[in-house]
Amino acid sequence: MMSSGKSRVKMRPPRNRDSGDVNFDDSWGILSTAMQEMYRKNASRLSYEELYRTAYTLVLKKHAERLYNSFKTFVAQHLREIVSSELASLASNTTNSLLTSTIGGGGLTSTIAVPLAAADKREGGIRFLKAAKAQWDDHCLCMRMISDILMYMDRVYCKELQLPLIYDAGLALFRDQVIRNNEFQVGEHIYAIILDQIQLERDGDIVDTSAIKATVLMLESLTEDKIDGETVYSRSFEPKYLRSSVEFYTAEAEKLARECDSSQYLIQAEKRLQEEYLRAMSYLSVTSEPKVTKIVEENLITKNIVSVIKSDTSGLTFMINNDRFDDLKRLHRLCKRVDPEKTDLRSALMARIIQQGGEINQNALEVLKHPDKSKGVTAQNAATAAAFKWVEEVLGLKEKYDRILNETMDSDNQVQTSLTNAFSSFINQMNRCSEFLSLFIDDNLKKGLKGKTEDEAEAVLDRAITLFRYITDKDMFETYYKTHLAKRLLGGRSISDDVERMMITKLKMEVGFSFTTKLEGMFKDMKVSNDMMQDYKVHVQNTDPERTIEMSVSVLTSTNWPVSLSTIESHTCVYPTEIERIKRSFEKFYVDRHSGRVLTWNPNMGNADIRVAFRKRKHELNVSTYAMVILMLFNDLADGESLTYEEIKTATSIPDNELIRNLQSLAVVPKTRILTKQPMSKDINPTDRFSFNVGFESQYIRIKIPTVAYINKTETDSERKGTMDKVDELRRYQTDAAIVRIMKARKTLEHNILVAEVTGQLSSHFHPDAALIKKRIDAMLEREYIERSAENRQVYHYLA
Amino acid sequence: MDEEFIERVNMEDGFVPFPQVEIIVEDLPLESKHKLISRLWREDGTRANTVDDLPSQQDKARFHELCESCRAGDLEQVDNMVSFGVDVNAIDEFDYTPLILASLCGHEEVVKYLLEHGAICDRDTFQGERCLYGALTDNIRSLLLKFDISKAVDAIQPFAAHIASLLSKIEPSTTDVIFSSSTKPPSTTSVGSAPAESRQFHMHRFILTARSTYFRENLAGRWRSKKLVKLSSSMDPRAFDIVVKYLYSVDIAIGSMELNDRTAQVARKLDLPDLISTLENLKAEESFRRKREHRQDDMRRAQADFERFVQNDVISARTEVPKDEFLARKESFCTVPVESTADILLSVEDDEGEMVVLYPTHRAMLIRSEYYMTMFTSSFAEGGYSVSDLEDQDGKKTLPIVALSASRQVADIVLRYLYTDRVDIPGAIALDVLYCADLLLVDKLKSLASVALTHSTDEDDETAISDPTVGKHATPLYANIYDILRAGWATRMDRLERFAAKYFADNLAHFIVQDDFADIVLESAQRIRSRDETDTIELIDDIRFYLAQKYGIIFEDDMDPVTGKVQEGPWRKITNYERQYNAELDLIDGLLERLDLDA
Repeated sequence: MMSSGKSRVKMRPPRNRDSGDVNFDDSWGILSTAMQEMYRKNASRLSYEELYRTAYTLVLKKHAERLYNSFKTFVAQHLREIVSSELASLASNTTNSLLTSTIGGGGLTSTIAVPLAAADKREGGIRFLKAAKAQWDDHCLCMRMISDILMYMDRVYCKELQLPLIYDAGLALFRDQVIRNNEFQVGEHIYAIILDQIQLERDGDIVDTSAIKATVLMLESLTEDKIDGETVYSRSFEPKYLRSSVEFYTAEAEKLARECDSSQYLIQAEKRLQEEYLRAMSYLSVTSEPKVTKIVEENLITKNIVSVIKSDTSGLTFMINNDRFDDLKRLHRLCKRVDPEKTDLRSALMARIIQQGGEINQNALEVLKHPDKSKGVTAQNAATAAAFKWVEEVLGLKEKYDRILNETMDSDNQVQTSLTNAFSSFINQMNRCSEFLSLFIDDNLKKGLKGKTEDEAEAVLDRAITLFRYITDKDMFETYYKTHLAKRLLGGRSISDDVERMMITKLKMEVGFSFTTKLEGMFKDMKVSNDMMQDYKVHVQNTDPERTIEMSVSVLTSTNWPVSLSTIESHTCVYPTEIERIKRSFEKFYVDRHSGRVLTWNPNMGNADIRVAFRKRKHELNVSTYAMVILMLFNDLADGESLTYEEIKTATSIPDNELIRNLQSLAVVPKTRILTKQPMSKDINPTDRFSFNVGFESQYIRIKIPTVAYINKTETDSERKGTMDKVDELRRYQTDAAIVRIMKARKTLEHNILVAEVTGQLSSHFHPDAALIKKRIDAMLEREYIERSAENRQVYHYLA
Repeated sequence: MDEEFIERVNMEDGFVPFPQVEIIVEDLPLESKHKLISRLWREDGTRANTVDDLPSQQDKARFHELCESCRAGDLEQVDNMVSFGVDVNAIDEFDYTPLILASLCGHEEVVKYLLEHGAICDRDTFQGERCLYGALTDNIRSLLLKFDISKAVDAIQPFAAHIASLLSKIEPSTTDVIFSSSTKPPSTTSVGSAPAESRQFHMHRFILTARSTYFRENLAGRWRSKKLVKLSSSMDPRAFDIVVKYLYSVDIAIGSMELNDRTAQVARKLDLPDLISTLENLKAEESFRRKREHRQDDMRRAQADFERFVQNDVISARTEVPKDEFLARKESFCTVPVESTADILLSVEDDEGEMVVLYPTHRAMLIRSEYYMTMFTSSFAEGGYSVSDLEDQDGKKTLPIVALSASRQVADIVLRYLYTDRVDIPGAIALDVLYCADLLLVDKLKSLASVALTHSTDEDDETAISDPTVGKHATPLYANIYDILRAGWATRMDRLERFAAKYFADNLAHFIVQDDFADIVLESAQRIRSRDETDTIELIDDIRFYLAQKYGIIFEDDMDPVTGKVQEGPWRKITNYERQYNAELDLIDGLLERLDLDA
């Protein structure tokens, strides 16, 4: 292979390599002529091999720097010629008016005024964009070819010195010599045209988006030197575009606010957002999309949303009242865009709910104060009616907002929280909410649910529970519920045990086991009593078979039942002797079985069936225990004799209020007038005289004589005060217990933390206020459950 | 050795029963251990050459150098040796494979390189387990464990990858013949198989010619001037597709037994015995390693086919024309016989510049050089050449001519490299090859050329030159040392720069007085100055480094921080070597002073 190598003895000089030089100007002449040919689109006649070799040789002979600079000078020169010969003239021919009108300030708005010019302008502008784009395409093609022939220089010289590669340098030249040409700013011209086209499109014209798209792509491929990721688009065009967008949307926001109602406003705003999004995505840059969207949001939503919501004629209230769900949906969507917290919408919603709730509260109180007599609402059941009205309205409101939430706001959690807060707020503003709710349940359990299926009953109870959740003072509710339950149980008024238990279970699920233990205890007492009465009956048959009077006793654990039922003093009563004897026999029977227990009789809760012989016929009367005691006084009197109030009182020792109530039901209520009263008035006075009404008639044999006490009545003010006091007392105990529980577990605790923990423990029952807790802490200090730390007065220690 | 034992070595994952090996050594006392293991591997079907099995003395030397580089972690040298085609899975006298050495010595980069270039670390084998066990760091161990051989296959053979890529390459279009399958379902189709679709196969005449005698004969014969060849209707296009893939060195996989059988039929018909055995291998359920070896065999065969082809059909088919005649009537020389597969003529001038040599070549192979790739895809004249333009008359066809400024010998080397990846570069023309490869932007060839240029010459190689003034002990060179250094600079081959610096350091006294040396020091200083304003002269720094190495000065503490000289202190006497070292540094400083340089 090396035929010639062997013959040589002396060192073989490399062929023409470093020794011979090359004439730069000759070589550059070849290359520059070729470049001109490329611009003339004659590249296919050129020999790549020759051009590459020429450039390669120049680089190898260390002329790279000159070559690089000559290339740049050549291309720059060429581009300048193109600008002056092709673009500048085109611009002056076709778009003169455009430039003056848009660049000369205020052009954006004035363009609308000249509709005829629009078409011309549009076409002239587009023509210019296309011309610039064509030059750009040619340039890119030539740069690709030049970088092909100068590839060796790219590899060796540019890389080593970290200069821009030929192609990139070519693009940078286009940027500096064309787009930012000193004499004719092609760039500015292009920006003005694009902005103008955008303005036209915003005004409803149709524009040639493909030309703009191509131009934008060009601007995006022109990168800025030394700034990473920045392009001519992002540095030069985008700021102008955003500025013009701000101008447009500031004006647009004002215009819409002036011309549209809230619903229209929302539709327009959403439409604009969609338009800008599509514009950015289809022919501007994806990177501009968030920026311009922000501008639209800022101007169309953030600035005006409050007035849109608050508009009297078409705002939020209007939408809610008229079930404008589409509008609400839109409103929520737009609010969410600008403010993830949706503060404005939520506070408006809350305000509206609290307002409506306040009205409901007011209505209920109105009913209470001025019962509608015409509809047969008596003062006595006015409370029930008010409670019913209130509960139904609150639930109705709740359902409405639930629907709004689910159907228009995607069950938005934050909105839901606001709704809950709003409901909770106005419900608890109503200081009788616990009582009303309990009354509502009571009424349903006594009659409302009669004949309903289990599912229906459950639905009603569930609604009640919904309301129950909002109530903060759950202990208050418990007190009322207990009272009402006690009356239902003892009076045998409950329609179904199953429904009662269902309610208890639901409560248990809501607030836990401890809340319902006492309620369950009440049920247990009733069952145990029933069983015991079976035994007692057997016992009586064995010991006293002659007895004609039957007695049934419910033995109640005093702690489980409402306090009012178990206080001794208020329930004194002297029983007739035969009754007294039976009572004793039961007491003996009971104490024999459960030694050490004390029985206290509560005649106010009892009732009796007695048979009375009137002139016409005998009737069976169902009366309260007190009424029985009163009536039995008349057994010993002859016909026509009478007793005064005082005499009755002395004979029976029944407390005044009970006596008055029972006498009212016996002597005043027309249908059950067993006694006649002198004088015939509604009120009972100590001087009144009562006699047995022998002539009493009724179509029924069995007559139930209701006692005023057994009709559901709201408490009198004093009674309610009593309830409040009882609740307060209970709260004190609970607070004490909580303090001790916490301190026992933690041993040492700072005041603030203790307060916080106590609040936390109690909040499921009621909302404890700080003053109460502080007071109780003081009490616990006094009673030496805890002591203050010697070092820090703010710290407590638990004392075992 | 009985079968059972081999089984156990394979099956017991990672556990190698050494005592049993000992016993076998007793049974076969005459064989050394590495031979034994080699035998064990071979009987297991694995290729494991001991160094003694390597074919030539040169291969042995290169394998030793590879092992040495793996110990030292010299990635560049490893790369060079692997480029020469040294078997990376061979074992040396001490039972080491290059991979084990690199792994043991903790050279992660080298381990990675070896794995990517075909080194096997198979847990099922003795050597593989040993390699893992000896891994110096956890990184290397996990590298060895997780390395996926299947991904490495194409990297082993860039050549095969290129051939395979030609099947799907669209730009530039280089295919020159289309085989079209008939639409009729093949009569041999058994019941139940779907009728095969009609397909067109765009292919390269030269690849078919290179790979198969059948195609060579037919393409030169009955299909001579056809652009479109219709396949017989009995040919299943799916089977033909597999054949095509095989010819293009694509890794083939066959779905069904039936297709495999039908492909085997086609292979028999087309007289492709190697494909038949490949298909047989595919049929057998084989371990991954075995499959990989078969694949490598296939690729080696393809490479061998192309080596034959480039020798016979390209290099030997060149024509020589007197230069003045060529320049005068260029058109009359750009023809080749019509059965030629070439689609372009490469013209070079021979050394004396009197003759022009024309090689009939193929653009499909030239485009392995980025220079040609750009050329044929560009919008320039050369990009416009396409297969359909070839004129066809009087048993001749006209081809375009592309010039290459290189000597004929260099052109031979370049073509051989582009067609086969395998090339031996004679040191005497290595410098020319280096410049040519640089022009063509073929980095791999550049590094092969610089290895060849700096590799120690054989004493009896007459092409090497030695500078009589340097002294007898100086290594003879293939080129002037100044040319080598300048070539290093021009082509950015660091290896050459370092080589030259070491050479200067070794013979400093000789060079320091030469004007040429002063010139080149100045040149180096200017190179730096043009890059950035640091005050060092790379060449001088390198020479100092090699001087220190030459005299074994390694402790920086001993050196004066300013002058770099070894200090004589109260605690140590200066040695003779150190004195020489200091003297040579003085020489350099003297030179720099004369040149008014500061370093």
